[in-house]
Amino acid sequence: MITLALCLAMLSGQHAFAQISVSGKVTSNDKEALPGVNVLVKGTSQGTTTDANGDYKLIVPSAESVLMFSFVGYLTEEVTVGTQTNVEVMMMPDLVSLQEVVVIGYGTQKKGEVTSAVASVKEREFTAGAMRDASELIKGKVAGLTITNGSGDPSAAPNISLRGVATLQGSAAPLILINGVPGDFNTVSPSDIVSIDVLKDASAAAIYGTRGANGVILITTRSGDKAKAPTLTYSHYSAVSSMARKADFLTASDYQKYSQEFTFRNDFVGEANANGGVTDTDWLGEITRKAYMQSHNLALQGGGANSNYAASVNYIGQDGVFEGSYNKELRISLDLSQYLFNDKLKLSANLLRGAQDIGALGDGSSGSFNPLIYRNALIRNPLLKIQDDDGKWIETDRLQYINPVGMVRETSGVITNNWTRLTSNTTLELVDGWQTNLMLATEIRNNYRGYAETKEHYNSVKGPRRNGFASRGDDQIKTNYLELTSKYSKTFDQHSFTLLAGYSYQYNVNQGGFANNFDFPTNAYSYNNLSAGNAMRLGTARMDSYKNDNTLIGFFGRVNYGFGDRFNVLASVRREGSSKFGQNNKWGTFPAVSAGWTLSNEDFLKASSVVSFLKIRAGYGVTGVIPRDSYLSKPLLTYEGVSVLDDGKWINGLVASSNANPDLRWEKSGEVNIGLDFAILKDKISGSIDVYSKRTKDMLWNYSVPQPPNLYSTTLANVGEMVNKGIEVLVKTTPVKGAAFEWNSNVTFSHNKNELVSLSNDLYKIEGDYINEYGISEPISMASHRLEPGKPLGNFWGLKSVDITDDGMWVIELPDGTRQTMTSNSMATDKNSQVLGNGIPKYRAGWINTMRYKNFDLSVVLSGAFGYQIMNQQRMFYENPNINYNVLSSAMDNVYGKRRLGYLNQAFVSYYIENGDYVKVENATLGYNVDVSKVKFMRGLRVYVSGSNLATITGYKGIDPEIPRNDIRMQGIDNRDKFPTVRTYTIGVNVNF
Amino acid sequence: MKLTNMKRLLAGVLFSVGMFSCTNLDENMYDVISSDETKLTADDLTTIIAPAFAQFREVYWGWNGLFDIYEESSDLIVTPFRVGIGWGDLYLDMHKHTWGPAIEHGNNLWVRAYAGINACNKAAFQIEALGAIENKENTLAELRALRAIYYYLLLDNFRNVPIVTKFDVPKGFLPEQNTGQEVYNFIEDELTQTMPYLSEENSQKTYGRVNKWTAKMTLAKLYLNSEVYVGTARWDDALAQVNDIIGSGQFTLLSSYSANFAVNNTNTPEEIFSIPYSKEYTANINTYYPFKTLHPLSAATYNMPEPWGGSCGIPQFLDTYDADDSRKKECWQGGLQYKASGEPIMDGDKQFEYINYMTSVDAAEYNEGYRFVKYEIPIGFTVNPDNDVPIYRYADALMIKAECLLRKGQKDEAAQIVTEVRQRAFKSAPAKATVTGAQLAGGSTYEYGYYENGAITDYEGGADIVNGRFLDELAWEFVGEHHRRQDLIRFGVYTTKQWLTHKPNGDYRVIFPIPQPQRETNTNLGQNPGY
Repeated sequence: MITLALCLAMLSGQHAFAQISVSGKVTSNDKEALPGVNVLVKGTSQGTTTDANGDYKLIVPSAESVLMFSFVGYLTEEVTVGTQTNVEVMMMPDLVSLQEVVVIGYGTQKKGEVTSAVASVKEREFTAGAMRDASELIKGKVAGLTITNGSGDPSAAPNISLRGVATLQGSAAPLILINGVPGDFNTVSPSDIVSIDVLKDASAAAIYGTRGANGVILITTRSGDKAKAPTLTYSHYSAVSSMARKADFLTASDYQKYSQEFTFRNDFVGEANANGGVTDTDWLGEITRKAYMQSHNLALQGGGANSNYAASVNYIGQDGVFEGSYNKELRISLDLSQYLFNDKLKLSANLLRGAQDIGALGDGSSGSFNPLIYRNALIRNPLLKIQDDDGKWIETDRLQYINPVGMVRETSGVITNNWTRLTSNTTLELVDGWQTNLMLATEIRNNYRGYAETKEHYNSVKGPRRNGFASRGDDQIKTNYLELTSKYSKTFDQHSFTLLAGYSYQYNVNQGGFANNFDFPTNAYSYNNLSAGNAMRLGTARMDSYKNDNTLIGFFGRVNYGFGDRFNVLASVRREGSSKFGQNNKWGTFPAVSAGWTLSNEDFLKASSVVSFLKIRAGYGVTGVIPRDSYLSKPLLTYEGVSVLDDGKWINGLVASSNANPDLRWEKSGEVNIGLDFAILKDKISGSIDVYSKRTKDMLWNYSVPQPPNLYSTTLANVGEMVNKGIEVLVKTTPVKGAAFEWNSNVTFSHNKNELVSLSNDLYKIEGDYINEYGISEPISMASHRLEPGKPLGNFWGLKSVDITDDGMWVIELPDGTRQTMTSNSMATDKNSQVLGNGIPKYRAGWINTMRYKNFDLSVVLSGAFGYQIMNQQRMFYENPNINYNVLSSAMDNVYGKRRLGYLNQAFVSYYIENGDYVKVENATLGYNVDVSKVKFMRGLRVYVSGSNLATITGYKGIDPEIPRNDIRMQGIDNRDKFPTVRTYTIGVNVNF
Repeated sequence: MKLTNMKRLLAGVLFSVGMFSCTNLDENMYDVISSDETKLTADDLTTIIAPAFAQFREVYWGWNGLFDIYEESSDLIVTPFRVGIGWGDLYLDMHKHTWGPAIEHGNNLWVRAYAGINACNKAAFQIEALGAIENKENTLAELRALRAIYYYLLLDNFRNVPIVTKFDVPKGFLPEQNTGQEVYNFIEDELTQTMPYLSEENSQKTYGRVNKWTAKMTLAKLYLNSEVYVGTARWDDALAQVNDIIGSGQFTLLSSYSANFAVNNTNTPEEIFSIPYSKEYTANINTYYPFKTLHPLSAATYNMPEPWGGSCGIPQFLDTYDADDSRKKECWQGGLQYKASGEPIMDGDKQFEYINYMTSVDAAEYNEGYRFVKYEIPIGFTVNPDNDVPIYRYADALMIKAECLLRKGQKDEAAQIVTEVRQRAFKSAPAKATVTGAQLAGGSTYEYGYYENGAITDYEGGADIVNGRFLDELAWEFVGEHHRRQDLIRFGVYTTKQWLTHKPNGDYRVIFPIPQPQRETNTNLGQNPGY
């Protein structure tokens, strides 16, 4: 009674003053209504919460009153009431929210409890625009995660590496898990993803055992929420791409101009005259175009009282800048969950289906690009006609010199990829805190290839003279997964712990076939009637088939322990075996331990007005790299190539095709990681710093072994050792934060130092203890790199050019400092060669700025790499005016400022090694959120324009300093035939219903 | 109740999962077989010995293989740097004798020959394991003799190589290097010891296999070069071996020289030991030579896929042929070029022509040099040849006999044999076939000397070469037949004369360096002197 009376008194008292009634709607940054938001009058206990529609109504004492809006996971907003009676608030997510959940594999952790180097990127932080695959969502946003595209091929997969390269011939790619099942960045549509978490150090990744050494990327997709009204989202974008930069070769008029004063050895005028006369052809222009792309995405999600669902359909249709190159993808996903017995049992099923068509321009190619076509467009005589008067493609008699237009037009090919993934999860929670989950999944990936060349194709009329050619191929990869995990969490007093135990089984089988035929009676069959060709009858066509399998089994356990809100420890172990390993080493153990101390929750820091969060972490773990192929440990035999004539008949023989190695095992990495997470100035600045040292032992290498006694000249053995050390920094800042204008600026920075420690042991040796790698094709065929203990990977190895003689010959500085004129490429011996630079960036950085002004938002993503060199092979091959093909315009420039190159051969000298440092505007997106509050059926509407690969600041003379890094041991090569990178402009719209 | 059921179901699923696969890590082999699981029986005898013989194809026509070693380091054939096209410096090293331990040709021969030796050892090991089978002793003897031929190639090219005679060696075993003398003795002993067990037959059954006559030819070659190998001449011993072959009456010269290299050259009476090829069954090793030598324009002559245009004859050698010697035409393609149909091949506005001229090996134009077409290229040739490679033929046995007689001073008897061999090459001018002993003992007609732009700038000639005319005879008969390097060494020319862009570059180059990759993996291997 007394309380009531007091209240009444207060109410009536307030009534006595200038009471104001305020109402409004609270929405999230993606325009969704936020129910349950606390709305409080600052300095009082007066307040309310928003209803299911995000609406609230409140009486405030005065115009000076300040409303505080707070909600878990979002930044608290404060608004002074003033004269307003309607206060609409959009709440921004709290980027350093310690409540935020981080996916750590077989479970999640609150961000504040994380003890290892785990980076988490949530949907709201993803880059917008035309996304080729999920990797582009997070490019530049995770320190230490290197994503390089470096190719304009619409079907090309990016190269991903984490914390440098720690293998010589295994895979350097991180393990990618989509909702716990291995896949790749292209498996799911970028628009289905809600978070991407990266386990960077071994103390986190060790739970994945033999597959964890390159880090683990965990992709989580949308799954809907229980008891939530359905939402429908439609997104669309259209984009146009063109080559960001073209190689500058001589045009017909350039050639004729220079011919006045320079004697070309390629006699293009003569060649053109002999082939229908001189004209002016832009060969590259003939086979390239502006490429258009469009994407549609429809997503539906919601949930009933005991169920939730999410479904999406995504289509991308994309042309490549090269004629004939395209990628069309359709992905459908469906996720259903049903809760039973008061949520004690949850059954969920997930279906994912993807279908992709890629235009194939070459036989057996996996992507939508044929480097040979591009190369011929660059080097072809610009004075030549394309077709003769009868419409036939003009072909001349120069070696490996093909009319690129004919090659494109007389080719047809398609690669069809299909993938289907079915996942079921049965989760049982009999007792609160004890969860047991059985995951069963299967994934089938099919690939069908068809390729045909007409009877007018170069390979029909010249070259191999196949008179029409066709091939078909197919592959199937099928993998079954079973994972049983049981988890128990308990908190009492200050102690909290989670125990996890699990078993994982993975069986993979790969099979496929291939056949070709040629000498066809007609073009009409294309690749659809292989038997019509004559070559099979004559025994010159080929066919092939294969099948192999492998099994991976793991037992694992993990303990998380927390004491108060200050100490956290995580320890895990995985015992894992693979069928790929040798008989003596089938099983291995991968332990890990890490700990964190949250200093900011200690008394001495709790009161600090500067430091709002501070934690130090340290961890150690052991991870592995599994060999790529099956049967590597076996002494294999082959019938191939061993037929003998025996009394007039040919009989098959049987011969060794590999040496046995029963000791074959995983490459093993031990990694120490020490980290610091911080937030200061009321979370205005936050971030983390990690330093690590990773030592990889038992690195696999195909050792040349003496023959005799070995049957085969190489043996795959675990011998080498490598160290990667580095530092990673992430800083997130909010320089300006107001109701109308907000600016967030995040910086990532990483430095990695690689050292090859050893290549030999007692049994397997390399005398001289180095390996030369040959990354330069004919006719140069010189060594490009050297791998040597004590040195980093990626060292260029060759002749150091310092000058040019009066007659245009290279002057080489020998390792002893003396100078010698280069008269022939045979000068490139090891004795005369030296290290000429390194192709792996020492530093990488990303800088992401997002700004919001009222309904506008702008994000700009910059990335850069520093401290490395690039071998510019386009210059190496084509910056020599004396060759038989067309050359770069720069071939007519003076070398070392003195004169044109007089050396007749193409050669590798240090003149073609350039600094690769660059800063790139990866993406800039300007968006506008249209006010749709008046439109009943619409919850949000956003339109945006976006540009990718907009600008590059670099001193590098080649097309793009961001180069593909497919070959681990020969990094830094900018291949002459690289698909040039493209610049893309996008316009898009997202609608929420 | 329901919950219990669920639990039971779950337990059941887990149990069955655990039962079938919990820790089973066996690899299932589908498209491969391993020696662990493959059991061979007496019926597989040919399968067992096949790798030992098949390896010879790789040794001979593998890329940068035996053919190139014997021809391209000599004064007969070269792969010049073609202006604007390339062809790397590897080939120039062969011509200029500037190779080092890393030269690919050396390592290829080593690896391939030892693969053959390993295959012989392994086959012998497998046969021993089969227990009592028919012809066991003969088969084992044949494998030993074949192994001796591989060793003979290694001796000829590297001299100091390890002798390995066993397959079942302990783990980590690294062979010890043997001296040239030891290798020489080993080959002689092996061939002598196995001789009684080898077949004396020369038929379809022994074709491509090692019979007694093959072993005798190998011994004859060992003795013929004995002075080079170990410092002691053994002309009489060489003579005795070839006399046995000639005396056997099993071999005759074919009436046509080119028939020895025709597409269908299987099991002719002139062949003593050959490597059989079949376009259907040996497709994995292509005799790439038609591609390596012919210019792309010549595709029209044979209706073949486009060749690459590299190797050619050295002009100074082509100049030595007698105008009436039909072997020049049978071995070389030169002059104006025609399509298969007989129409001229046009090169721009003029007819395409191969010219017997070279600017320099460092800058040869596309049409320079005659092309080596001794092995018949059929019209419609694709990529896989049918021509067998005669390793030893009867003409070789006759010429060894002639050389031994010449060296022993029986010049006129030697001349008689040489005349016999020459006769089929001078059908149009039979008188020219006859040579005299004095001629054979005279100098060579090869105009040795440094050659630039079609002219010899530093003339040396061949008049001073002892038995130089006989050396010429060997070139005309055996060009492109893995002879020349050995012959030039035996006649003291290999490291003393200049030809084309080649200059002598050290006497030690009569053998190749021990390949660098081998020394890197087997620390017992020392380097040959000079390298």
